[in-house]
This record gives sequence, structure tokens and C-alpha cells, in this order.
Amino acid sequence: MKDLNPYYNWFVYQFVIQTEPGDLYWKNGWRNSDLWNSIDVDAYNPPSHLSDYNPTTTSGVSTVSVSVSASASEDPEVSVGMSWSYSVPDVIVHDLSSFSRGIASWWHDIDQSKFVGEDSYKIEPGAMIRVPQAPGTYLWKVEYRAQWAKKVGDYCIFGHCLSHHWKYSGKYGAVVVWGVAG
Amino acid sequence: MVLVLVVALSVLAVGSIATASTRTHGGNINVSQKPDIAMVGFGNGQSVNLGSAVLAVNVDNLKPEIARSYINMQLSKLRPVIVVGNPKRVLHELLNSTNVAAVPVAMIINGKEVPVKKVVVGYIPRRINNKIGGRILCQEYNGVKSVMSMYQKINTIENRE
Repeated sequence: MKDLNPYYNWFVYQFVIQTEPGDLYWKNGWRNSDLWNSIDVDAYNPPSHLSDYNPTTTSGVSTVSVSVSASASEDPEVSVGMSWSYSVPDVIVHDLSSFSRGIASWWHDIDQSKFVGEDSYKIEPGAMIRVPQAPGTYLWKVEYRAQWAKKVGDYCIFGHCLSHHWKYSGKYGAVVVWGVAG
Repeated sequence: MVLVLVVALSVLAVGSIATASTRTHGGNINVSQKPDIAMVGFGNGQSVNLGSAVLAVNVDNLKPEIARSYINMQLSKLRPVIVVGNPKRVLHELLNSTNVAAVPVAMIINGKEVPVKKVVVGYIPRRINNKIGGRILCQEYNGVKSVMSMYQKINTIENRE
């Protein structure tokens, strides 16, 4: 894809994140509960810029379409974009992003009581970022974390629970710095 | 003039292609790359068999120009290279040799950010449109202890070179 803009490069960042519930492998009762992920575009380089991100807040649908593009307002000569989709069965997507802070951020609230809590589950949110097309190094920060939930009985007799509530694990994940050489 | 559109894929990933993983009592969370970005697994039962042609560069023990020279030598021959060391230094040296790089700088363990002191990053170069490109393959950051043991393993490879 080509543009006529000599000042910037655009990058599409496609997260592909999967959570594997402990119950699936170790039969320990832990199910998928939450996934958080974010990209902080200007954590290290203020000139870098969040051009677009997707999805936004979504509830009650089974699939979300992700489409990111460089907007015409940034440069009418630029025509780039990518689209894909992923499933969100019994999942609420919370959009925690901020254009002003250069952060695209999502919380996928998974209904642990449904099938999506039992099996491996994958999300694919994305963002388009713009970095200067000039000599130098441009960095951005990516975070992802996951949490699981386990059914705990309030009144249990011989392993049979009459009522229950959910116990949540800690959050686990990583912080990764990406860089491109301009 | 040319809009370089790179798809950077970050994967918390699939079991069969998983690399560095965080196993918790709650589940399994892995970080790796998609299969189309060829990758190698480290740690957590994943085996590493890169063969004797692989050069492992410990940037912490080398002057920048020497480390860069080793990395560039491997990439120019389209050979995989493993870069070991302080995350910021590894990122810096890789970016001096490649266009795109990524390193983990912290693990989130039970909600707390724990800085990573040493990383092992595998990089396999690819030739695209007569330009040498490539992708970061794998990052190992399962805590300092396991990374250090991985470092010893890598060091063994390095010594064979």
C-alpha cells in the first residue's frame, strides 16, 4: 500500500490474545473471566499518534468486526486500512481508550458461567498508529493481562453445593515494548 | 513516500504454538507470535532445537559495535539469531539491526508489575522484496530465575559456536 505522505508511517497493531482456562487442562475449576489489553502509543515518543482503534464498547452480539484505517483528516492522500472479525459470545467489550492520551485499551468481560468460560478463548482487537517517518527509534508499550474465576460453594455438603459465588484469581500478563527504526 | 504498513501481531497464544507462558493456578497465559511469523519456543516444557548454526549474542557482555556486528552477520546470512540480555539493551541492539523488535519489560504477576531483568529473544530473518526483514519470534520472561536458567542454556549454544 502506498501513500504520498513523506512525513509519517502507519502501523496496524493486531492483538491476538488467547486465554486458556485452568479447568480445561487441569480440571481445577478455574474458568475464563476477564481479559485486559492496551497499547500506549506515545508512552515513550510523544510525536507518535493513535489514529484509530476497534472495537468500541459492544454487548449482546456474537461477533465484532474490527476495522482500522488512517483517517482522511490525517492525510487525504492516505488510504490504508485493515479489517477482520472475532467472536464475542457472552462477552461484553468495554472500550477504555483515549485518543488524547494515545491509548487504545479494552476490557473483555467474559461470562464465566457460559461456554466461553470453559474453553480456550481468543480476542483480536486492533489499532492503527502513526509514527514519524524520520531517522530515529519509535517505541510503543503493549500490556495484556488475564483473570480467571472459580465457583465456590456457600453451603456445601459432601461436595454438593446448594449455592455458590465466584472467586477471582489475581491478574497475570506482561508488558512488552515494541519498537520500529525510522 | 511509501507507506510502510506493518502488521505487528502480539499473541497471548495458542497452546500448540505457545512459547513463553505464565502458568498460574487459574489458567495459562502465553505470549508468542503467530505461525506465519516463524517462531521458536523456550521454557515451560517447550523445546529449543535451533541447531548449531544459531548464534546467541549476550549483549550485556559485549560492546555495542561487537554485538551489532554479530547480529548483523547472522541476519545478513538469513540465519536465526538469539539475543540475550537486559531488555532495553536487547531492544536497542535489535532495532539497530532490524526494523521491528519487541521485548518484554515486565511481567504482571498477581496484579503487580515485576520488572524483567534479562530476556532471551529469538529472531529469524526473512527476505521480503529483496529486503531482509524479519520478526521477533519469541520472548522468554517467566521470571528472572527461569530466564537465567534459559540464559545458561543459550550460553551453551553460544559456546559451541
